[in-house]
Amino acid sequence: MTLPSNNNSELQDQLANFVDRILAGNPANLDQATFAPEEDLRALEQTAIRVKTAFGDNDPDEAVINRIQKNILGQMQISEIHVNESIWRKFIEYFKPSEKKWRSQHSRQRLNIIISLATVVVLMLVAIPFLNSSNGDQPGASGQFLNNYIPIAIGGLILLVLWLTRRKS
Amino acid sequence: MTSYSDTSDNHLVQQFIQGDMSAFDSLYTRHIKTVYNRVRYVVPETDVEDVTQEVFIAALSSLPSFRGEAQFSTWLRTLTNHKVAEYYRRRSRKKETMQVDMVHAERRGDQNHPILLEDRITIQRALNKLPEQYREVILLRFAEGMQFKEIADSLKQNPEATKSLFRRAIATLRNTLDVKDDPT
Repeated sequence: MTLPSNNNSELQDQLANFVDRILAGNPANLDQATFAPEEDLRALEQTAIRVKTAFGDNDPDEAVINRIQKNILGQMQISEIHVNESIWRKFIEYFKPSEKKWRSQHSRQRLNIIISLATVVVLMLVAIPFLNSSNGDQPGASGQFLNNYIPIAIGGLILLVLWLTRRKS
Repeated sequence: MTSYSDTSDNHLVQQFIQGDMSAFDSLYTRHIKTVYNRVRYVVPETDVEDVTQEVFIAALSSLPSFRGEAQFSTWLRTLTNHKVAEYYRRRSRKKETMQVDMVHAERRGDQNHPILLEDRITIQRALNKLPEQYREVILLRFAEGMQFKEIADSLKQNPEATKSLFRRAIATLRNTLDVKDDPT
């Protein structure tokens, strides 16, 4: 559809006026619409009528408006509950490992190592101050001997625990 | 519910952000018909309510980030277009076709004549194939009922340019409709 620009301008105004009329409900029955004699414009007017006829003037009725609004609020409440649930679930799961986790060999192994190391660290923390206090004013006593061998003993203990843990799992 | 009939959209948004849920109800009441009609022009009848609902749910959760740089109606229109695009992405994964739309519509007991229904689906598909600016000007005039002057303001054009765009859009739609439908 190639027309001179002045024709184009006229054609677009006529099409716009035609669309304004049909959307304003004039004529009330679209079958009675009168089309322009020019073939180009008539084709466009017919397309506009086709669109208008296919979709009509169906604004949603009150029931639809209320139903959508109710669904939106329902969806929002569900998503809020879901958010709350997920926070609690994460919290509980953090402290209560699932059965699958407990059955996992890797998890069990890791847990054993952690418990063993924690035990060793606790023992060290408890024993070291006590052993230090006993070596100061008694040169050559057993405190001095223990003080020299404590790091080696603890290292050996850690290695033993690790070896036992690995062997068990 | 508080009456907000004279309050601007942007002010309602501020009220909502400050925790006034009735401000959102007013925004919903004000814009539901526009959104619903826009969706109805581009989405099969059976899914119009669902997509409209998704638009407002998305609006509800995104409103706190609305900065008021654009008009609320423009922002909502963009959101609607995103939701429609998302709907078609989901749908393309399911490989749903025009035949499926017809079956769904008939099963739902759609009141429209089958020929009208088929034509609506054909036009919807043609509209979705149009370049975005053409589809937009048709939707603004037909679905949203905006006058050419208002469309021109919205598109930041002069009315003559808008009418020219509209004519080209209708001509392209006509050509698209003339092309035989893809059987899928």
